[in-house]
Amino acid sequence: MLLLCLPALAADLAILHATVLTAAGPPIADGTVVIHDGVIASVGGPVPAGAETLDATGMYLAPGTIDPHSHMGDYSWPDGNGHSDGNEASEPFTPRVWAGDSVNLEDPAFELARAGGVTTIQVLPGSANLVGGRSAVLKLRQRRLLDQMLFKAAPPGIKMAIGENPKRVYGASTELAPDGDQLQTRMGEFAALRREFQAALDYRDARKRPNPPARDLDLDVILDVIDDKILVHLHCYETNDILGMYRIADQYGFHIQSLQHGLEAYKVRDVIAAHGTMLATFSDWWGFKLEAWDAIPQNAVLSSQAGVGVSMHSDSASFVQRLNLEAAKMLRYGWTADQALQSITIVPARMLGVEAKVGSIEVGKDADLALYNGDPLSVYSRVQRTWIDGEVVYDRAGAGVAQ
Amino acid sequence: MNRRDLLRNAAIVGAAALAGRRAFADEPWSAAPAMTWSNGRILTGLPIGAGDAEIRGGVRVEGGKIVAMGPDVTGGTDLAGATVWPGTWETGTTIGLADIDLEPSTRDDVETLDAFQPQVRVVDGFNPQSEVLPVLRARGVLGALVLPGGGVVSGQAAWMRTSGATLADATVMAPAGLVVNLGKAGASDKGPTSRLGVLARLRDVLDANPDPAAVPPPDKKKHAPVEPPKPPTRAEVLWHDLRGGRLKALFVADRASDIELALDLASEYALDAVIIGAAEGWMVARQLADARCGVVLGPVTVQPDSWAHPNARYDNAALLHAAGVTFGIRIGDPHRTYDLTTEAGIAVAWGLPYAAAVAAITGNSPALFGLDQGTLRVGGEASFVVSDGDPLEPRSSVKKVVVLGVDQPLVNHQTELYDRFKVLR
Repeated sequence: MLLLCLPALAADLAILHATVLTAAGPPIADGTVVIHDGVIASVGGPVPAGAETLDATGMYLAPGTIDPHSHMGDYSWPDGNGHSDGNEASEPFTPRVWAGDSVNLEDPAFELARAGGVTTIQVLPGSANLVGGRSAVLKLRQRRLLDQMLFKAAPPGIKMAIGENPKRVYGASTELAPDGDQLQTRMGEFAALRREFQAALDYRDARKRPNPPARDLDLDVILDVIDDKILVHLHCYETNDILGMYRIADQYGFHIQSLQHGLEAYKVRDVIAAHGTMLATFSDWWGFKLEAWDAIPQNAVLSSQAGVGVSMHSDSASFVQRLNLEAAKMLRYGWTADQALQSITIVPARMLGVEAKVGSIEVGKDADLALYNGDPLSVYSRVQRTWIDGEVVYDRAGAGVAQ
Repeated sequence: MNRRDLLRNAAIVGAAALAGRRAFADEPWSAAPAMTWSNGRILTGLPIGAGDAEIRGGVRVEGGKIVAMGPDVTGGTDLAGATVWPGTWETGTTIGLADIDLEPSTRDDVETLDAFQPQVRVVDGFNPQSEVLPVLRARGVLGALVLPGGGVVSGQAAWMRTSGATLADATVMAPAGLVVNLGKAGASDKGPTSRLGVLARLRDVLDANPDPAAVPPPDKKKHAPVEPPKPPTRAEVLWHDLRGGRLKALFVADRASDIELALDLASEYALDAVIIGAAEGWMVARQLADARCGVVLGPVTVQPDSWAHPNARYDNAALLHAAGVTFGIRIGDPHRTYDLTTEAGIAVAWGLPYAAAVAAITGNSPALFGLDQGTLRVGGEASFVVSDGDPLEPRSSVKKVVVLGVDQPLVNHQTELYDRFKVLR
């Protein structure tokens, strides 16, 4: 198994004369990046003897795109009942489930994502449930086995959701929640969360006593949340939901790593910054439901100016291919080009806890790279080549994809 | 002339440009102040071959019309190299009919009276006060072909502006054609449930309603009339107009085989057809070019994510262009209509010439309907957008929107929120 996980050892590769966008400092004109054993061995040279070289004159080398909010593999293409594996909407609390178990490795979306320069994604369960389950962070390697795609260095993460979705899913149907767990209102959602967290604390106490209750796979995970052993990624939109979740988090003493969507974050950006929570958001998608009605395209910029780490996210196997263009829109509202690039590379890497391995072009980091034939923030640029761990996973010249 | 008369006239005449001009005849547009803009880059939006795609210079506006354009126009407001362009005209959307997807009380975009409901009209549900419209307008969307949804034949589409205080002001052309949903999109529990039934029922209704103008009058010697014929119903008139080519058939079709079916129907029944969607158009590019029917493709970024279009690809637009097909580009998602510019830019990245991409989101689609909206030309309406850079680049911003010579306010729901929260109190 270990052998399968390693990319084939290749000769060193030196990418020459590219404009290198490191996401860790200013752009480097006419830059050199050397890859050795799947890792960035140098930025600026020297070029080791015997290294393959790639003349990237006129091109831009950037860290591979990292998407902290994906459902690739869980809603595999083409869409249909048989591919609907993203929401375990059998009850509002399913912390026991793991998005990795749903991933269809044959999802053709992976190939197109690689062609868009995407190298790492977080696959999240859907947002039907208050606690939807654990996430799977994948490197988009071209592999047959899930174990080969898992980003082993990534700490565990969990999806929580608050607001319209859980009450829409559980509010109308008593069939789905026969035990009285119907969620009809936001206050009902918060009450259900408190009951679940209290149940976890009671369970912990009971487990310490004689005749302890049987292991509960759900409450075990909730205890990991309370103990900050798992990164909480919270699906939310409105301010009342954001503030309400901080009441829960403060009461039970856990950290919310990120708001996912958070389209009204700008209204309470000071509170979010004070909690050290990051934000993964859309550029300017809005209006698809009432809690997305007050979205404004300045959300990302205002939030980052308040000290919140802001990442673009896709929530879409289509938009992930063009996350660079979503980031580019933010230049209108005040981000620099560096900030825009960071919002699809190093910032999401931090959000997923993998910033020591990926997200920027720095010596020692994994060689997860995207080479564009122009400025990645220009609509006219195309990815020419994508590397993961130094391995070419997309090459436009010999594109193995229909597109 | 009141709104009801106006719409009825538009419906009866069915001549789009006429209806459009009529809609504004009594309005203050014609009294719009004169203005001059100079030193800009002007994208005309003209269909390829119809004139210069790009010129330098200025624009002079009087009475809501462009009276001069080009390097000879000087003075007035200095554009300092900014781009003047016609704004986007979307082709196939639900803006004005639906505001919030998951709030049924804001939605009038889908009707399920019947699987065949030609009498359903977009203009009956279009809300010129929709808060979505000012958001889109402030980002350069000036108008759209709005489609009703539901059933196989959803009803009558209309060309609408994103500006105008009243329905009459906003209406450019109504009806603009009958929407015919091919593929599984047309199937529903109110009617046919498969492609087989969709096509069978479509042929039935077309067979049953030949255009009376094209049917030879009965031989009076052989058939003495027993009683005078009944006047046709409203629906029958619409079918007659469709069969007679006076009303367009707007086929929504993505799968290659569905596009072929649309072309077959258009040929068999001599329909004036427009294909909307065409995600797999590149697979039938030759047939589309030969048929010379209208084509609106998009979104450009449609993915091979559905059984309806497993062969979607980014270079669909480039391939169709290379095959000689002229087309408009649509995006479909109403709240993202402003991303039409990005869609066009992506088509360029995948091989579509720049001028063709600009025309595809501006003048091409209106031109299919005999409208000159979406173009900038001397004598045409003074509706345009000023952007601070290449409008197709995501980083560019819209700085000004002018409709029929009148500067449009850029204030909207989003700018009001920004102003309220840009400083936290």
